[in-house]
Amino acid sequence: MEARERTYARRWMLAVALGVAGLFCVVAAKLVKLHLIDPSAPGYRAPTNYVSTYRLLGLRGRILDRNGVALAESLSGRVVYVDQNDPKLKALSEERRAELPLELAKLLGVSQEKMLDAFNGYHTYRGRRVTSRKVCEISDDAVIRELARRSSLSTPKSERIAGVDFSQPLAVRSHPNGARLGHTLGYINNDGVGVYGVEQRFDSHLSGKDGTIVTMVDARRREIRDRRLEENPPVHGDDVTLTIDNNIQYIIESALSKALERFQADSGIILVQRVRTGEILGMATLPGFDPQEYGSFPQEQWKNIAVSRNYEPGSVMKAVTVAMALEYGIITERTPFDVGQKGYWVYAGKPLRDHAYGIVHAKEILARSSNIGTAMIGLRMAEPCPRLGATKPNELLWRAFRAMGFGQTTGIELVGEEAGILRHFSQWDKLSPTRMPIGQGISVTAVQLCNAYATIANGGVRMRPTILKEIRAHDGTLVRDNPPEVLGRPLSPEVCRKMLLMLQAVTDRSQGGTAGKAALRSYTVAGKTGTGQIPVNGSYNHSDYNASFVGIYPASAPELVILVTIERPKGPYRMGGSVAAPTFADVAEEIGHYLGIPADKFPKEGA
Amino acid sequence: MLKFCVRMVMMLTFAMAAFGLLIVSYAGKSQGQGPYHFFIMQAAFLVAGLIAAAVICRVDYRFFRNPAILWTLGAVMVVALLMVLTPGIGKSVKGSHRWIALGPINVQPVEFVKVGMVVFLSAYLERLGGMVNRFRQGFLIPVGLLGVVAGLLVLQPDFGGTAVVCFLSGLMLLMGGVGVRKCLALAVLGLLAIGLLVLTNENRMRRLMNEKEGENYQAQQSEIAFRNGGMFGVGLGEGMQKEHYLPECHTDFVFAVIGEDLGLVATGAVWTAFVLLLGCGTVIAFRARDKQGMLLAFGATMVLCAQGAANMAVVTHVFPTKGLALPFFSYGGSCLLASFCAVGLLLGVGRVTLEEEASPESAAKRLLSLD
Repeated sequence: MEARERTYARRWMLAVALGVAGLFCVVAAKLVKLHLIDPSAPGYRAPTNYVSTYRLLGLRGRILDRNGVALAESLSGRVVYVDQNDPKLKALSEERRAELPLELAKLLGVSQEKMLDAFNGYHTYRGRRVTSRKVCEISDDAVIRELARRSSLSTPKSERIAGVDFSQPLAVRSHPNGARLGHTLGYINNDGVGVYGVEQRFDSHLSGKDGTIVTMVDARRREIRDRRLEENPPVHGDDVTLTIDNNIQYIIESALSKALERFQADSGIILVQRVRTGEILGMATLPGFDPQEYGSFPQEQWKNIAVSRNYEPGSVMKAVTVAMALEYGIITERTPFDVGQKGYWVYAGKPLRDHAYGIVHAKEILARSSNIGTAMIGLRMAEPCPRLGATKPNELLWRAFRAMGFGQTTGIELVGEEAGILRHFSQWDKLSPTRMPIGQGISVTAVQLCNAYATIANGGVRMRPTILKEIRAHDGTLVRDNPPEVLGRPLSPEVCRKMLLMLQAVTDRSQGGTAGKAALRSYTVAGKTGTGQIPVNGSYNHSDYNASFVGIYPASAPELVILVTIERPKGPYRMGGSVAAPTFADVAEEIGHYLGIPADKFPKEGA
Repeated sequence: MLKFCVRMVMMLTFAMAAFGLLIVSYAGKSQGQGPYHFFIMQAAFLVAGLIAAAVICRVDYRFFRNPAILWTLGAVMVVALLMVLTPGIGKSVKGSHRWIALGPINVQPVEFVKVGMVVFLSAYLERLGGMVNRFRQGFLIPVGLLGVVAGLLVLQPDFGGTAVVCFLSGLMLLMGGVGVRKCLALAVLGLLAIGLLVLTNENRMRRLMNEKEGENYQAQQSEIAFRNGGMFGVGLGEGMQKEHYLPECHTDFVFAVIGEDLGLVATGAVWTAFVLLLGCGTVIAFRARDKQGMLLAFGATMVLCAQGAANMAVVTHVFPTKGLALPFFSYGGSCLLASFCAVGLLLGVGRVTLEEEASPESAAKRLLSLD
């Protein structure tokens, strides 16, 4: 090899090696810059997108009926948004984009107009055009899976879904029975807080607490399992079991809705209470209210009128008056009253209308629903009675109403309970002791009234009406029990026995009873009708009534009290005996058999 | 000096290969292939590479001057590249036909063609001797072969590989005395071909005109990795950029993973290793007794170091993104094996030179040395 060739090659080698070395030097400078200089520059921020927080839904507890049937439950679902600016949407063909909203509307169960509007319309918020909109919430796993499958890029473009974001988890409150028992349950507002009913009353028990997972994620936002930073498990809410029986609720709600239609009434209440424990087995209030769609009902319809409406009950109060008069020894069953033959009775300058019965005995007063007779009992009770420690006029009568639970809340576990209106006896006028005993000038709630009858049925022991059976944590441990609670013993068993016999005559037409239509085939019924006038602009009229019937059965061994109140029936029938009594009979017979209450009445042979 | 350089090259090779194996096994962790897949594959090729290097360094490089061997080598390269393009034999990934499927493993011929062209051209130019100035022998034949090889690579398409092969071959011709003017003409020819390729493809045109899109993402993520690493890194296997933030982190962008996990300390060490390799390889080439030895040693050094420098420049975003592997570090069996072959050739030149300096007569007589 010639030296010239060698030198030539070496020169080139040197040049190229130096060139490569130069490149290495540039790389070294860049390395120092990237590693050391950039991160120490002011304003440098290390990337933070490696960490992501996932929300774990803490589900709200269920509300169950006494047999464990779910009345309200939370399901984990997703919020669905439509985003018109989704870049994946632009990848689709024109025709596909046109048919997409209609297809989604069908899949998600949303109206086509709403979906088309979400995809094409827009609104402005603070001067900005908003093109992303919430369309619905879904809890059906199959739908969520379908959305996920069809949104993936591996789905052919002709079937692919785009422009829809359903990543945000959400608990959806589901009511399997729709509007049934809606007033008692209450609803969940947009902040997830219970409003009205059981949802509000037991919100602290029911509400769950969301958990979180803080974790490192890869570039596709997927969790890196072995690099989870923090884990706070969700806490699910407690399950609240009610005393309500879903089947009884169904029976009374459908009967009530039929009655409202038949008698063209505005609203109605049916309560079913167990005598011995005070448990409410059914609470129907119509017009109804669907907790899931509360926004589409007028706001005055959201309240539970069984506990939060005061009304003048009318003649159903007479039983309370008579019972207390017997208890205080003011009268006996045989005490006679001359109600006259004129058909009215003037006291304190005001006439009181009534049937003309002549002489009636105390025990007939209830069966015939004598206004004058009851008013006379009221007057006797209004006299001061030092024997019982009532030194002032009216005091004893006031105490009698208080003892039976009027003028005070019962303590039922529902929000917005009213106390009724029972003015203090010092504020009464001269007419009060003649009108209050027949249910005028005194306002009550349906729950108070039902409970007063339950007291009579229960041998004088007044139980606290209750809707709560128990509360259990998500894992089943008992959090709160609710044993029956005695509020007082206003009546003796002896008086109650007599009262039941008297009230039984009400449903017996042969004894002149006003509620023959409340008689049952299999059970004897002790009850009382009432046709309370509704004051309109401060005075009574002859068209606005509350038609009521409260029945205790079986009268020989009371199990249940059922209260029926129909407000403002507008048909030909408007009286308690012709409107509420038959509705009572409709439901009472069925519920008696459903609960297996032994019959105490047998059809006569050959009948 | 020469002895020191030969030992240095050996040690650097062992060190880089071991460190590369460690890094690849961590970098590939999140690629969805199981925790040990990359370690096992890379380790297997590493063992194969060590054996190949040991064998090749014992072969006297003058053995390749044999025309039968020489032309067989040329033919094998062309045939391998043709096989890649043959349906049924070649395997394509993401639209590129770069692999030959051999049972469980895929061979990427371009890595061996890089080394093969260096071996072929160094031996060919040595054989040519004084005829190097003739147009047909000194220019037409080698450039023709290069044209065929480059054409087949473009068809794959593999522009990074084409560029490396052309650079190495051009270097061989230049040093071999073909002449600056002819080499310039060759460069102009190459540039024209590149221009033609770009102009005929809308996609390539767009990429050239607008560098900001797509590819730049990779470069930005790569820069973030280095910044995360700082001086000492975030800890081996702890770096987050390898969790799909940085695509191809276990192959072309493995250097960024080193930077994030172990910091400037490690990237500096790798950089130093390559610079030392460049220096030692150049010394071995300088000291070679003949033209073939010089060209072969320097070519082998360039296969390793020029590629290494280019890869580092791409990963640190000095150059725009191009698909190039970092020898000894990037995952890929063919590249690792070819790199060991290059090291074997380099060491072989050094060994022969040392032996000739010790006893010129005896060594010169032996064509094949297997002592």
